[in-house]
Amino acid sequence: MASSPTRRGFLVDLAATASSLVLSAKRAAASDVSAASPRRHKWGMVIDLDRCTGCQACALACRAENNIPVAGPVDTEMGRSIFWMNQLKRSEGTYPDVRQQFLPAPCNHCEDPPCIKVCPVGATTQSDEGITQQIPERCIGCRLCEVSCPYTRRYFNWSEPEWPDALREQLNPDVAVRPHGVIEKCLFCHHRIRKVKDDARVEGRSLTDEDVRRLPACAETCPAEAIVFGDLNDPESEVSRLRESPRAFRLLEELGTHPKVIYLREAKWQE
Amino acid sequence: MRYLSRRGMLRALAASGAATAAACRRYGGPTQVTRVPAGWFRGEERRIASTCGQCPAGCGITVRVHEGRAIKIEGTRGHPINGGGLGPKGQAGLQLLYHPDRIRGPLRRDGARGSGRWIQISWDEAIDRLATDLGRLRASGDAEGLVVIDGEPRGPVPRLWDRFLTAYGSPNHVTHLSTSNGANALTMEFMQGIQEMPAYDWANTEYVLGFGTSLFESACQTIHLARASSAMRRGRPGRRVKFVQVSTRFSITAAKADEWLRIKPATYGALALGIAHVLVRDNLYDTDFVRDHTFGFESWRDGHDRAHRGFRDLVLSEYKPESVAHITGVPVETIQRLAREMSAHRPAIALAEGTGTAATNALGTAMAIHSLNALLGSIETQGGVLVRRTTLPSWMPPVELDEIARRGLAATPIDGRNTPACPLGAGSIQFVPEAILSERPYPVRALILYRSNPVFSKPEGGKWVEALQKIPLVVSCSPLPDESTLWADLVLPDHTYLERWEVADPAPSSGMPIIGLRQPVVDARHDTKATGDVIIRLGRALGNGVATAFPWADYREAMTQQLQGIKPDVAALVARMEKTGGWWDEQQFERWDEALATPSRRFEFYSQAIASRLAALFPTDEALEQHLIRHSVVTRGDDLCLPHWEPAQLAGDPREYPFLLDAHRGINYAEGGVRHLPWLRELPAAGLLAWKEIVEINPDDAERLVLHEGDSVVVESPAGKRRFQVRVDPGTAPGTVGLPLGHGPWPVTADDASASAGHGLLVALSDPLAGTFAQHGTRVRVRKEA
Repeated sequence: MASSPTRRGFLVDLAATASSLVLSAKRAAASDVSAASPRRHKWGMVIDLDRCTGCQACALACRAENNIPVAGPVDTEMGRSIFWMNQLKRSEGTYPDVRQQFLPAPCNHCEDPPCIKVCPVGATTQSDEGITQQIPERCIGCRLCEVSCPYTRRYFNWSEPEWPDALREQLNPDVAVRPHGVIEKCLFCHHRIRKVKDDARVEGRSLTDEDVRRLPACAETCPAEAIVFGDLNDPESEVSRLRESPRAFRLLEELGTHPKVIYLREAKWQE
Repeated sequence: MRYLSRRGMLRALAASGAATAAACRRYGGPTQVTRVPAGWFRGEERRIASTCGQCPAGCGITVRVHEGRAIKIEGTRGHPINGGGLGPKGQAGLQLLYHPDRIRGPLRRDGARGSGRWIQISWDEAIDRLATDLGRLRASGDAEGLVVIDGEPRGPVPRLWDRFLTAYGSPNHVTHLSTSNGANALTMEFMQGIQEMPAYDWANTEYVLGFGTSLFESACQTIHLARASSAMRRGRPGRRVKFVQVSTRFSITAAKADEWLRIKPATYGALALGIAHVLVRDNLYDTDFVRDHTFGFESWRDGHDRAHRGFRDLVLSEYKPESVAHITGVPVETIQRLAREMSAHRPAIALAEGTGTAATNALGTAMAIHSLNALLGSIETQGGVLVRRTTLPSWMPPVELDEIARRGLAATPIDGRNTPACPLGAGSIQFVPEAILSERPYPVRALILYRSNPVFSKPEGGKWVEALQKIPLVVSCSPLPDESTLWADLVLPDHTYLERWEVADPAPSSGMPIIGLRQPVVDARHDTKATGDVIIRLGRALGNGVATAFPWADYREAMTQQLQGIKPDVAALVARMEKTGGWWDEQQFERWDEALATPSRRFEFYSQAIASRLAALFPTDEALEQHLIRHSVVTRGDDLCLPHWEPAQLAGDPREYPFLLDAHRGINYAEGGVRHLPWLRELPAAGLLAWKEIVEINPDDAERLVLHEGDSVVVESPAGKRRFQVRVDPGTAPGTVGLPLGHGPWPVTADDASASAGHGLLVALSDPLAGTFAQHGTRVRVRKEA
């Protein structure tokens, strides 16, 4: 890994080299196109806010699945907690005219992600299935992607990940622990996608919507079944059906980032 | 807002150059590869079906175990309670299993109480010691001096304790019922003759009116409800169930409801009866159901030709919408609209789970709310209130009592059960510390704590610390060194729920018969033992009299015998349960003989059980009158047996303590609290104050007291005082202070033995007749810390 003077040099030369690095990143992404897939998947997620009850199990399941360390009292107070699946809460109004909203908030996996454009080292790329990936080994911790993400869904590792010995037993062997000093983010549980793809290949069949509908840890645990995952390129999939709902919207659509996380807004009871 | 401060922090650090320095600290390399334990091959994975134990709901879980290590807990697909989902508490189970502070084996105290000095002993020695001490106590004729506080609401272990205490000769099987929805259970008993919490058919209902409920926070069916409410809204295209929440605090449940109505604290019963008034007055109620299946609706005469007041007369004369609006602060038009909506959208459910019945008027209130279900014909019908079906059968034959046992069992229970102290209730745990300290009705000689940590989770924790120190022998079965275990003499650590083989008896969900199974997902991590096994070994070690009640070799054999009552072919049943995590059957409706077991075999607006219990405990009207005056009860006569409302009593002078403490439990309140599991402490919506003990204050009150988010305050109640951080919250009613329960310091030390964490600020106030704990009855003052 680069030592600090070199890294600083990188930052100084950023403007000059950025475009060529982006190109190399794109080449890197193109090279890991998976072998035999009849139709290219485009993974997306629909979150129904009318079903969501704000229980936050999604956030906790994500932490357990992806080996995200507990922030602890000091880092929490400094706002350094990491939640690939976050839960944003917003209260407004004056009692008794109060409103409160919950928003489960994973990475939006934009079709045109601003974070990729600014990475000077190609540490963040888009897979050919539409997942915005992060490669900790390449990341130099400059945090440009963190500030460029309009949704604030990128997290910096402010400290060495630590677990008491007993709790290391729980670590998921499928997910690497990210070191201190790099950015990390939601990856749509791509290790689980790989697993179901392998399983399907072994069984000699192609992936079905049923295989992936509750695949990511957040979707699997959601007691209200508010989170649906699937292939946006498959017109028959649940996510494709739900994105056509009149309640569907995306966050900050006006920015032209084209998020692949689609929300369904809350509805009202009508007599 | 969180992100602003994250970035603000970075800017500050970057300016000082610290960010670069911090970013360059060396990465310590990948985590070590663990050894594969015997019986596993490299890369092997198993998925083990079991039942969650983080709350009484009994969700089905499937644990992913990789090379002998439990990696992840998921909900079991197709399970009738959670249907594949799992809440945050269930997810956090692995932090309990792998908790670094778990007690490694049986401990004997070595040093002063509370010193935290222990000697680890063997299980043989531990059980021998306890059997010797309890044997001596029994031989000396003080069997009733043994008290077991048992915090598990249902299942085989509470029954084993019951059996143990019966054979031993102590009436003191103290439960947590009075502090957890006790009024609801009593309402089912008095109005329907059923000794269980109600079940609800969420899938078929059309309208839900919640009175101070915490459906999406800490009702004992939260996960089942999240799933149900999601289906109520989106499960049937074009049809949406309306959920109206009435509460003082604008909670998550209120935020997620279709409509939220603010109400003055502790006036829920009046609102329910106001709605009942409109239903009856405008003939909007289910006349067929009321005629065929209820008792006490019209005024009636008893066998002695004495006239009794009917429910119709009560609500029509005393709960006019105008006066109800004055009491509750809910406008007359709203009361009338609610009645019309409920009547037009049947089946409808009136729900009293949670804080609606947490004041000193709890029983009358819970009965008032439940009476709406009868008026709307929602009892035992599709989309209405059901009863819990088949539970685990009891062991046969029942315990044979010897002379010592008979004498001991005749003693007065120390929790006030069946005494004038708690005339209508099933005992009150909040009476226990006073009974221990005053040695009335007799001294407590030994106390066993099972799934119970009263110093932390019961009101007036400080008094509990004093009480524990007065008892000569305190035994704790906790797997974690909690606030009460600190004062124990002997610790017999239990397995966690992920390490034991056990039949689970879930809370009534949607009224289907259901039994869950727990099985070890990993080998026991430490030298712990399932308490079921401990009870059986202890019973057998006590010899004559007690041992005969425990004919089984171990806990598993005892449970297998119980399962025989469900299916004679136990082996097949167990095989199925080990695969699916449980056994369940279809819902049933309109089985009146099962659902209505009152003396009249009808739904009783006028509870004859209340009348006869009062008559038995208070031989004369004068005695009852004296009792009511002493406890400042204003209701009299027939109204005591009918749904009614009277103003709640509060602890603390309003001039000294201007705020009402609105204590509540969040979604993260697991067995034992929040503070010991970092995952639950750090739920994202808790934000920057996640690790702090906080109180919530309305912005106007905060401005008046010059308080800002994160400021330090001292909150003082008549029971104690404690320092908190302020969260300014527009959803907290002016004049109240919100207190999320379950927080406090961890690990526990004797230094923090002031015991004001957890529930320590709450005063042990009770419903004067039902004996249920009034969680909403403590007044406090708030002082800003300099």
